[in-house]
Amino acid sequence: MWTFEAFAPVQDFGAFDYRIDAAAFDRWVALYPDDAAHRPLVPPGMAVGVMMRAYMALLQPRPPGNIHAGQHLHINRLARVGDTMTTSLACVAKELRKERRWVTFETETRDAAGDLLFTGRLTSIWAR
Amino acid sequence: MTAKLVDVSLTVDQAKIRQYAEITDDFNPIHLDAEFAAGTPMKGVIAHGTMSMNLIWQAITASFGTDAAVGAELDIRFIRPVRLGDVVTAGGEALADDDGRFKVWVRNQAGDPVIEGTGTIPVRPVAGPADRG
Repeated sequence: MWTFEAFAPVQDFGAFDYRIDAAAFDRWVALYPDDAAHRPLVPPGMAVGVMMRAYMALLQPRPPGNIHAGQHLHINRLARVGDTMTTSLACVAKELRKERRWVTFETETRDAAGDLLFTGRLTSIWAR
Repeated sequence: MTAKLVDVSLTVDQAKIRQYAEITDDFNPIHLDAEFAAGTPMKGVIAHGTMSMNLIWQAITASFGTDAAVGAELDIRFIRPVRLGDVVTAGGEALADDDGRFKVWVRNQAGDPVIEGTGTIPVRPVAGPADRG
């Protein structure tokens, strides 16, 4: 279990591959119909979803009840539907502040050619 | 430069939260399990923060086109939970002293901010009549 105590920044959690196929794109558009206009590119919010999927996959198991408190993102390029996106994850900081367990992660997402798609910094309040 | 972003809204319900959970593979029970969520500091089910955050991206692309996201940067804080039945609306306004920088937000139906932050959007100013020669 990845409790607050277990994190030792800077700590590499490896990388996770995810291919955004047409079915995944259609599921996204069912929730956000206006994002259909991005086709054949992956909408920026869906790219964020891929980052979250990588975070969920690489950081297992987690205590239930963690809270996503902040997010920084820089989009360098949008992937195309059908591309495989590889997201690396690292824990870069942790801090106990006002009895809350703050943990900061950084992500980097690249396409199959290794070109940078976007970077992220995710701040969480850890449940325990 | 557009001074305000186009507003984009979403009505949040459990079905949409489940859809988002399946897309992101984020099945944190705080989003899906009413009994569990009631026992947390949130005191009830809350939506994924990035589910509402997408409305900011939609407000940006509705305002400047789908190309506007390339090179864009968002730095936001999730400051209030989004709950079942909430209608959340994203918007933004240009910061007067900084070309391409916007204050961005998502607010609930009461007008309370649920997300706040800044966005940097690398859009070129549209040429006005005096600029067209």
